[in-house]
Amino acid sequence: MVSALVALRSGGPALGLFWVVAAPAGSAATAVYYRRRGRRIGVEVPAAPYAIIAAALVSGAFLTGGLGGALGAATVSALGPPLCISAGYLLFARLGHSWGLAVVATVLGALTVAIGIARVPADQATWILALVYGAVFVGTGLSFRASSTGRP
Amino acid sequence: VSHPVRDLSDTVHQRVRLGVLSVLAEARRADFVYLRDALEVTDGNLSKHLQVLEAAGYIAIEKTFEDRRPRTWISATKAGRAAFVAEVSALRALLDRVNPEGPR
Repeated sequence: MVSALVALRSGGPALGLFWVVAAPAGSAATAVYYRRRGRRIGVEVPAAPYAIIAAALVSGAFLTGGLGGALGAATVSALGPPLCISAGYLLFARLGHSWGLAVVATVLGALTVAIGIARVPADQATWILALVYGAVFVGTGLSFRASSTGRP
Repeated sequence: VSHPVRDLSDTVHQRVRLGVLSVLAEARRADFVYLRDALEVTDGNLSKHLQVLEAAGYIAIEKTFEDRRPRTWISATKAGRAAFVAEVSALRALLDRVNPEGPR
C-alpha cells in the first residue's frame, strides 16, 4: 500500500526503486514469520520451493517493469509486475493447497487484465493496482492469521 | 497374474502410519503433538506406530528441549519418502483397476 503512495507521488521509476528495497525485506520478513509460525504450531515446511517462487516472482516483476520502461511500453511496465505477482501467488496457493489464496490471486490477475483491456492510462493503472494489490494482500494476510490463531 | 494390492506395504498402509508419512511428505519435520492432533490419535497409539516406522528406517525422531520443555520432532527419511511414493502409486494402480473409467 505504501507503494501506491510512491507511485502516485513519484511515478513508476521511483516505484521500481522502492521495490528494490521492499521486495527482499518483505520476503525476508515473511520467511521469518513462517519459520516462527512453523515452530510454534509444530510443523515446518521446506523453505526452498517458496524461496524459488518468491525469487521468480520478484525477478519477473522487475524484468517486465524494466523491459517496459526500456522499450517505452508503459502498459507493460504498469501491468507486467502485477501479473507476475498474481501468477506467483497462484503458485504459492498451489504449494500451500490454499483455495482462498488461489481465488485471491486469480481475481487480482483478472482485474489487472481488465484494467489493460479498459486501456486505463499506465500511470493511473500503476497506483490503482499497487493500492488494490496491497489492500487485498493485507486483508488476506490478516484473514488467514485470524483463521489460524482464532484471533486477528 | 499380479494384483496391484500386492504392492501395498503392510508397514506403510496402516491408517496412522500412512497419515504420519503423508504429513511428513509435505513437511520438513513435524512435532509429536501436531501429528497426534492432526491424526486424532492418543499419545500411546502414535508412539507405537512411530516406533514401527522408525524401526523400518522410514522416519527419524529427534528429541529436543525448547524453553526447558521436551519436544519431539519427527521427519521422514529418504527411504520413508520413497516408501510413501510407492504406496501412493500402488493405491493409484488399485483404483485404476477397480474403477478404470475414473471418478463418477
